[in-house]
Amino acid sequence: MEVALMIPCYIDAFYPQVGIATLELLERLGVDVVYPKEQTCCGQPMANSGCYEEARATEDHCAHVFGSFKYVVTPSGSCTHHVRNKFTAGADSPEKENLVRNTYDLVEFLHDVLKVREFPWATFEHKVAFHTSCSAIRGLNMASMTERVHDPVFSKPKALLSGVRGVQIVDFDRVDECCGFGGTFSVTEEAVAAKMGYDKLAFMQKASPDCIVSSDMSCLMHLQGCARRQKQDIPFLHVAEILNGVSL
Amino acid sequence: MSSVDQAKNAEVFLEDTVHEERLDKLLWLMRMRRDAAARQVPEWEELRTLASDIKEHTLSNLSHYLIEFDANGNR
Repeated sequence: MEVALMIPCYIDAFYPQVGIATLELLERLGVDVVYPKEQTCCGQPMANSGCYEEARATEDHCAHVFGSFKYVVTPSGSCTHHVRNKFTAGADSPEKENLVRNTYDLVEFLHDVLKVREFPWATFEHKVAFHTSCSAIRGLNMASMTERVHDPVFSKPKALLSGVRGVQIVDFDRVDECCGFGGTFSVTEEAVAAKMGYDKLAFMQKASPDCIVSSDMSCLMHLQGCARRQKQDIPFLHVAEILNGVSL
Repeated sequence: MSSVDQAKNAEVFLEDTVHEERLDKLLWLMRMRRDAAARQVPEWEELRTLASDIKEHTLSNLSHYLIEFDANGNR
């Protein structure tokens, strides 16, 4: 099976180890991974700031680069949400239509397409506080929403993590509240974004986790910034790193 | 009309940690009460969807309803 790997710009710039873990994990699972080197960005930072004109060329380029693949996989709920549900700045084309239909977050791809449940090469004997991003919950339906009290409770990323030997997922209060990042929200509403991040960390810390994990590194980038300012040195990991067998 | 500097006002409000924490607790308590109420109504989500549809329909046809309201009001 051939898959095009889309590495979000902030992962490329700040967390290359997450891109490497995603590639290694897909290759372990027998996937033939193609990495189009001319890829740049999906356009989300501009588009969700209201800069549609500025997003157009980037979205067109993204559609052109990835538009011929049957599967496009990216380790980011928010980029997947943008491409699948908000990709309106660029011109309509068969390539764009193809990309919109065939883009998957890594967790979705593992859970729903490859249907992997066990990661026998990985052992992670640690307590994990797992944060599911708003885009993953509400944009991609990757986990149930706590306010929908009659729905069955589920979480695709937690289902994958529980296939790793030793992982102990801890519960904490207000589990699906936003971390406060929200893309440029953290720039335009710095004080509120920071307070939301500090609150999120405080709820997680009550459960004494060994690390904080998410399928969205952008949320973790914000939470890590908050943690550093509080002189906390807890590790932050992308779910791909644990599924690929990382050690703390 | 003067504009409101929401970000600046929020920053000032957040510096008053006593009030912020109390408001936060109160808002979350309301959320918990809302969840408890929702658990007792099996058709909660259908009702939410219906309410959402009514709102959308009304906003989409607001001119019609305003004219009807005006006509009935003046009858």
